[in-house]
Amino acid sequence: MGEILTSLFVLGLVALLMIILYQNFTEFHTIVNEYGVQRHTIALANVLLTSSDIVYTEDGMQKRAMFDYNKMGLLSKGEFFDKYSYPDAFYIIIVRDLETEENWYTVKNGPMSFEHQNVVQYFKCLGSQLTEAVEIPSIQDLNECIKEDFSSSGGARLSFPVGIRNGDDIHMGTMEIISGEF
Amino acid sequence: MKGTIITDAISTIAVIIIFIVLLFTVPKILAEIKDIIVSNSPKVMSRDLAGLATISAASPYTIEINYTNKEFSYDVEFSGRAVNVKYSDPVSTSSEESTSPMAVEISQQFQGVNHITIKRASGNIEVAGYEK
Repeated sequence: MGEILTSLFVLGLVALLMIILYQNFTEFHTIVNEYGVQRHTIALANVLLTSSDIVYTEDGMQKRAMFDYNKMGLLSKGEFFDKYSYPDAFYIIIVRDLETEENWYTVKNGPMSFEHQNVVQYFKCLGSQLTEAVEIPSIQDLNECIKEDFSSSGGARLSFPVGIRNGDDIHMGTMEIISGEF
Repeated sequence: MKGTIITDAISTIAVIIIFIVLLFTVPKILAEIKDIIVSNSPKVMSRDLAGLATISAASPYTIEINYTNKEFSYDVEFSGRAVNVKYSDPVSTSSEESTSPMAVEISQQFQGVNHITIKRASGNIEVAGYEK
């Protein structure tokens, strides 16, 4: 019986020692594995799809993902990104009317927390790949541009179906959002 | 002599039983500890709050999001386009803190809170922090 008690005592002692060691010398850190740029891009795209700046409004009701043809000029101005954008990030938004093949696009960046020169270099690199025909560079090309001038978090490229409404006329379209975070 | 052999046998069996019980219970306890550490970490909380604040802007009308942590209290600072979270419990020896970017601009600071409310109404986003 004495041996049982001794064994239990030793086990208890070891457990107590481990608890004391963990409490005093161990600190846990959580590492979140995620593709942050893509998650941010999805969130921002959802904000854009309901933005009163560009969506069609009828009787005070905002129509999600239904863009107002007459407000599309505001998208090109990029004022939306002054209000909503992640810091140290850039965005290219392209809205295409699939029936008339009309395009609207904007290139904007969020608030930057580092040297302006890097941004200029980046956009020069990007500009060399962005043509007037709105043929946008691939994510690989964008990432190459980012890697040249920044330590990069990478880029994301997503596409969403939208409607473009002009009065009673509704066309099918797409909204493509390309983003990169530095 | 016979008594000693029986005692030794009982001791051995008892230790084996204890080890078998520990073998099944320790992984469960460790998994629970891991779950508590992960779900309460400032990194996860700052990421959650930043994501919820951003996505609240996607609501065309009024939306109220209540975020509660039952285990710990935190110091939470919404500053510009980022949210910083760190433990404020005196029992916690961890100095871990984390900052996550968000797409909306909010400036608010709370100390020792475990309940955050994010409310969007009339185009404005407001946050409030409480101890519950």
